[in-house]
Amino acid sequence: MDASTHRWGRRRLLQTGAVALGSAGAGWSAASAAAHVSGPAAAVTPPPATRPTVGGRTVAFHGPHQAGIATPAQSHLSLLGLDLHPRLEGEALSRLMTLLSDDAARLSRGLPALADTEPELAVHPARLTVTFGFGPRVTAEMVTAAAGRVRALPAFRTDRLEEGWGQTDLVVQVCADDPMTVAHARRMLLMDARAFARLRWQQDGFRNAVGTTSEGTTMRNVMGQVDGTSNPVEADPEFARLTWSDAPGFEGGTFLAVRRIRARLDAWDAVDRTGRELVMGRRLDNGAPLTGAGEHDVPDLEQTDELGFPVIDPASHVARARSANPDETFVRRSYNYAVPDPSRGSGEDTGLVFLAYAADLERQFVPVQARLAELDRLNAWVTTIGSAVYAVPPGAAEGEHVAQRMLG
Amino acid sequence: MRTHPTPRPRRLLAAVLLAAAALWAPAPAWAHAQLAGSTPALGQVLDEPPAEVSLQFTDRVAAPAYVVVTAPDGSAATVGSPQVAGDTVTQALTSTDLEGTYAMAYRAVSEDGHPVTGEITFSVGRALRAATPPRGPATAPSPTAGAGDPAATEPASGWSDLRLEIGVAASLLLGAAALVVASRRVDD
Repeated sequence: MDASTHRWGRRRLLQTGAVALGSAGAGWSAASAAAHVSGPAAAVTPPPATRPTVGGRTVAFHGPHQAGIATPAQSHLSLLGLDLHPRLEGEALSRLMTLLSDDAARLSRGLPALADTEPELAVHPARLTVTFGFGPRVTAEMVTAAAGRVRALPAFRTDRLEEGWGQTDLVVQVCADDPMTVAHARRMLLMDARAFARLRWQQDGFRNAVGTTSEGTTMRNVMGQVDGTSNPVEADPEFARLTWSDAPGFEGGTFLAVRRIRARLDAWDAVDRTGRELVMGRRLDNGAPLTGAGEHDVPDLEQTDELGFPVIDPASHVARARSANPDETFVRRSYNYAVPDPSRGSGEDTGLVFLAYAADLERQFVPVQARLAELDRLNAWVTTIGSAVYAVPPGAAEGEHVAQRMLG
Repeated sequence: MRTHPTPRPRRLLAAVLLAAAALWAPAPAWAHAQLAGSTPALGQVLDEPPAEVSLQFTDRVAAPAYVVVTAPDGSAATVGSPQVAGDTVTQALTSTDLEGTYAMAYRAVSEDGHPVTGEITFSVGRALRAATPPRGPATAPSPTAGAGDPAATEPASGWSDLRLEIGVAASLLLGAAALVVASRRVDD
């Protein structure tokens, strides 16, 4: 090498590097000082271009109910199951809920969390909701209101539960229309929870991206079925009664059942279209019951064919899930999951993170699950591998943290 | 003179025979079940009404199955639910001495979710007496448009078709292999 091409000598390189680091350090200090001194509002300004519609939409964190339950389901889910550190006192749980509620309130407004390490990642709230729930151990030991207590689900014959997906002390449901928003919210929440709790599991899920289907379209699961027809929505007159508890000390709260359901797609491959529709009791193309034409037609379980057999097989999923009892209904807010699994021929483990919200799980959800466990043709192709239940406290008012009244 | 550890034509023939054997291997565990037979059989004339009827399928079926037997007077002749055991569905009948045509309608579901459905008639007494016709548009099975398998009231012909196809394919392959072997011998 001769001197003419060797323009960046070592000394010059070191000098340039020093200048770069020094100015970066100065800039960093200035920015963090500004953030701490003047509050989050001054720390980050949105880019000058027009704020995109999807990223800019927000859902209020405060209110009589927690967000993320009646909220129309966003595209992405990250469900966090945390266990409190042993010997944590009730007062510490209040401090944890203060921190997490504050993170959720800021981030869902498109504002960085306190001491946000990547404030630029907070500018697109994308309908972020963060919803908190307490498991049976917490409600038994730390909660003042008896109405907020939750009991584990009974065991079902068809369950193949794995402890790795089992009951935890806390659950945090993070949903948004943008996966970056979800990732950043999760990171902030876990960072603040670290001193109080350990992450046991994380169940991520997805639906269609915003804009792929028209708003209000029922999602499909990985088996290709329209999944969630006949689901209570906030506009329904019965929604409030079915979803929100009115028990003293727990008004506006609800209960959550989390069931991780694996779809055995290798076996499902062998089921042809007719078989798939018989097993479900619904058409594949539009989710209509086999006795109807449109998705929301009420299934007619009495209708028979020319031989006198019911058109909708009595053992089909829709026949077994439906009930004459109008109480046996709950909000389903499920997401598809797919994770690598080298032990499977397909290389993938895929299925549904089934989320059910109800004012009373024992009256509304358990009878349906029991009926399905007893008989459902779909059982040959799905396996429940995880189960957990949570009391979901009422919403927090401005200035409050979630479960403030419950934790006393 | 060339020497090989195993003469090449023989290895080729062995491979072809293995491939042909694979075609005869059992079908995958789940397949559309079809009706293989019934007791009583289609059109059978019995001296007395049977205590039970049974249906045999070509593959296992998934419970529950459905059987409706209609007596010559149009009344239901079944008592209790059908019992499913592997590839057989059994249904008990009420004690009856009615003579005439009985209609046995069935629907079973294969382990792969596919339905197999149809109707079989049999009679009790010396001849078919046209009393009240059995429920349904016809006693002979008719394929329903867009539905699953058409009603099959004979031992499933589909299965023997498959074996025929396999036999033809295997023969063709063996024939081809033989030609290859022969051509190699000519080269040598």
